[in-house]
Amino acid sequence: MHIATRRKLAISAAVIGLFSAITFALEFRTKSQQLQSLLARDKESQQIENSADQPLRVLENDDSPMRILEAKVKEVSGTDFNKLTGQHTALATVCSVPQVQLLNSSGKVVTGFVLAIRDPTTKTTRGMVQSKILINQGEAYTVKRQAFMESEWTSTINNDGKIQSSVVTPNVHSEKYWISFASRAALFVTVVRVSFQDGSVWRIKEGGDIQ
Amino acid sequence: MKVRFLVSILFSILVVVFAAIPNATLSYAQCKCTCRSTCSGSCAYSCSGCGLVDGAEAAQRCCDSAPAPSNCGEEEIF
Repeated sequence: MHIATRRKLAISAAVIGLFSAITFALEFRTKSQQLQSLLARDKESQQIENSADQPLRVLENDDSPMRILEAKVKEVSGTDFNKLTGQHTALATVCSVPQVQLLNSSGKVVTGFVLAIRDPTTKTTRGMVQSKILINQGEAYTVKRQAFMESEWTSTINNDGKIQSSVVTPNVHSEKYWISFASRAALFVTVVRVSFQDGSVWRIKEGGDIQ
Repeated sequence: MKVRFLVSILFSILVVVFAAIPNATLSYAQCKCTCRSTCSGSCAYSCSGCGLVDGAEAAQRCCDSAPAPSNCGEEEIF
C-alpha cells in the first residue's frame, strides 16, 4: 500500500479514536455530575431532617378535648429556602409544616379532628383534616409532616430520553414542605374541631390570641 | 337643642352600622379554601381570608367531598 494512503488511514483512525474518547469522557462526566447532583440533594434533605427541631407556638382552649403535647418544625433561612425550592420569600427564616403530638384528654372516643397552623394577621391558615380514625380516651396520636402535604408527581429524564414519573411525598425541595406565608414567630398551631364516636362535635372558641 | 343632639347621635350610629355591613360581607366573600386528600390518609387544606372556625368548617366540607388519591405509589415510564 502506498505510504501516503497508510498515513491518511492512520490519521483518520486517530481522529475517530480521539472523538470517541472525547464523547465517552463527556458522557461519563454528565452522568457523574447527575449522580453528584442527586447525592447533593439527598445530603441536603438529610441535613435538614437531622437538624434541631424548633417549637411551634401552641394555643388552645382550656376545654380542648385533644391537647397538643408537642408541635415541632424545621427552620431554614430565607436564602436556603430559595436554594432548596427555587421560590422567593421576603421572610428571614421559613419553617416547615409541623409534626404534632396530640392526646385525647376527653372522656370519649375521637373519630376525627381538624388541625390549623394560622397567621392571625393575614387570616391565612394551612392545616389538615383527619377522619375515619379511632383515638381512645387517654391515647396519644402523632400527626406526621406528610399529613399536611398532598403528594405530587415527580419526573426524571435519563440519557435515552425516557421519562420516569412517580407519585412521591414532597420533601425539603418542595415548597409544600414549607410554610412560606408567615414566619414561625407569627404562627400558632391549634386543634379547631373534634368529632366524637357518639356523633357530637367540639369547636374551638375564638377570642384573645386565638383568632 | 336636645332633639338635635339626639338626632346627631342616632345619625352617627346609623353611619357606623351601614359602614360595617359591607365590610362584613366583603370579609365573608373573601374566605376561600382549597383541599386535597393525601396518600397518608389525611386531607391537607389551606384557607385565606377566613375566620379560624369558619375556615376549619369549610375545610371539613371540602375534605368530605374530596376524592381519595388513586395514584399513590404509582410509577409511569414514557
